[in-house]
Amino acid sequence: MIQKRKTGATNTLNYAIKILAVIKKDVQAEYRARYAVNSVLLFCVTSLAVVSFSLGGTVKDPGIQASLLWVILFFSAMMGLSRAFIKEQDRGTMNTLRLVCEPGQVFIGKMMMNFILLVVVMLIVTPLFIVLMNIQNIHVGYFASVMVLSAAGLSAVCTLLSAVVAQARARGTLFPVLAFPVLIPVFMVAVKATEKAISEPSPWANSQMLVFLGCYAVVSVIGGSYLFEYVFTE
Amino acid sequence: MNSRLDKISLEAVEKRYGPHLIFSGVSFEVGKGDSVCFWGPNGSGKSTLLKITAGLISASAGKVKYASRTKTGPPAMYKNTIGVVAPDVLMYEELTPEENLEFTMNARGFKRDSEYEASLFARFDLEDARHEQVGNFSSGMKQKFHIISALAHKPSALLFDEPSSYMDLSGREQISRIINEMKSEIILIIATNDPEEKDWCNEYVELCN
Amino acid sequence: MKLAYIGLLISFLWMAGVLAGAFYFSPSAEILGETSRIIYFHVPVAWICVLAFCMSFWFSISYLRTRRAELDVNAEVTARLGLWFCILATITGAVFAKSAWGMYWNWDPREVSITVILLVYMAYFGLRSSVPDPERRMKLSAVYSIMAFVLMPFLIFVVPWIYSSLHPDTIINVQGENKLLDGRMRMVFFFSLAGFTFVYLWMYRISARIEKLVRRKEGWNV
Repeated sequence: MIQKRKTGATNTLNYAIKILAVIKKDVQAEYRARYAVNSVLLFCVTSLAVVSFSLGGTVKDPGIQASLLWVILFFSAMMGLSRAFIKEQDRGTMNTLRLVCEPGQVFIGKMMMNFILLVVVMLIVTPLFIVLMNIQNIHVGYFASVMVLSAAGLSAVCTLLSAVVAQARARGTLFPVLAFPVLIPVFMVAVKATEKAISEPSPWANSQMLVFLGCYAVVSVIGGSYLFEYVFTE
Repeated sequence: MNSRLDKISLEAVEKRYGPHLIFSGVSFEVGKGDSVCFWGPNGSGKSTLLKITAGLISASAGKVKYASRTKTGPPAMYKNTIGVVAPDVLMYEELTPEENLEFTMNARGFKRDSEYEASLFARFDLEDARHEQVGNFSSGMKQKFHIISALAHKPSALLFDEPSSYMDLSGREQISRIINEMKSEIILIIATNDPEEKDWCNEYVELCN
Repeated sequence: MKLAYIGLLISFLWMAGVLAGAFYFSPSAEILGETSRIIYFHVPVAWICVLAFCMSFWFSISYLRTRRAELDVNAEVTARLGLWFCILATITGAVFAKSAWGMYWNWDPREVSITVILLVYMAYFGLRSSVPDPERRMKLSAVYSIMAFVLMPFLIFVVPWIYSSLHPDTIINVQGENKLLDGRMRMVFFFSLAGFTFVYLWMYRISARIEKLVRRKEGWNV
């Protein structure tokens, strides 16, 4: 008789183990095939090249620099994060997920995977951007906080929408159409906050924007996990 | 905590696709040791009924109840003791059988029994392929692995949708043998229009178009 | 039946009254002059757009809880009406902007907000048209409607914040003038607001009935 895992720990730990199982599976699958990572990174680097070749060091205004960075990151997110469930649906493994996991596990696992993917992209793109655009003053702590909080909100919303779009047709075009209106608050605030990080000497003085991004992240994670169950169960 | 499934009952279950009716008025009860076949021509809704019984799809009307002698409660509690083999419940092709099993067992919350798993792999002649990506398997091997993964957690209910598809004669024999061994300990449901598979069951539910 | 015709007549007369009031009865505003009259049409229409959005959200929640197809009909119908009113609001707003500030588009906070709502409505219908399975369609569009509504407050909060820092002068927006202090203007304004609301509710009732008939023909039990 198979025994339930006797970890001697609470239900929370069991739940965490299940979520980790989802993440690990995704990481392994991604590592073998490398579809998402490759295409997203390729897209990022290409668009970064386009932007920097066309503008070079001529753009000095921090507002424009911040906007350009976020345009690249945003479209990369559109490309990379939409695949979370599309692949599962197409490969027939969506039902396997429904069978072995609870909806909450799947959502949190996929969301963390998307978060990791976004953070990896940011870690690669932003240093390159800073170098290519000759951005001199950058407040690293504030900048990193903006990136991380935005990534959290983005990944929650995109994970939910990926599940929505996986059950529809014309996924490629539908995903950005659905995502953009809902992500505008993050986008706008992230651009402004990034501008602050590369122009102001002490951006922490007024950290309203970080609080905003944090609230958005919290609401989208909670709302997302609640709504995900409806999307996921047939 | 042992929450094995003892009984699945369907009451007046109905399924619609949009406004169109697929089937209605399906009621039955299966308990431990029962083996039922969903029998019917293509398009009669056998696979759909199987998925409803497994809890993968919800019914448009009617109730599906899962009961255990030790506990009663929402289906989610017992879902992870059900094993399903169906054409659209597949394994991850980029992973090896070992990694797939690690995922399904951990996600379900079960501890792995490596001896039992090894014996399953041996029975279906898949020991050598254990560490190769599932995507490289032949369709027969993939089907065998799907069966193994449904058995690995020692399920209390097995729901098969045409289990011997892609199988050669020896494969069919392997399945039939393992089914006969487990029949009395579990709830067995097979959806098929293959008369040989129907014979593996004691009773059947017939679905007409 | 008779009641419906009476209601229709009253609405017709009411709206005629609104037109008369807007152009003849109410005086023109101090700063803006005759162009201020568009307020009697632009603001109610924008208000209806928001109302429709809220109603669609409510029906979406109810649908997810009960899975009754008629609630999805209501959600779709209110969203469609909301889309039309949103387009009207955007156009009337642009017309006003042109005459008041010289350009059709100013990146004023309200203009941006109404545009985002427009995008949400269009996305909603884009989603509906790309899901062939009817049950899935109803479920997914309800989820999207709820998600958009829940995240909308962030937008309402953010837009004036971000855009006010860029264009402080355009915050002399529609509520900035003294026009509402004038008794007659206020009267016509609320008259118009009520009239438009009646018209919207009447349109909603008819659209919902038509849509239910269409679905009944397809075999749904609504």
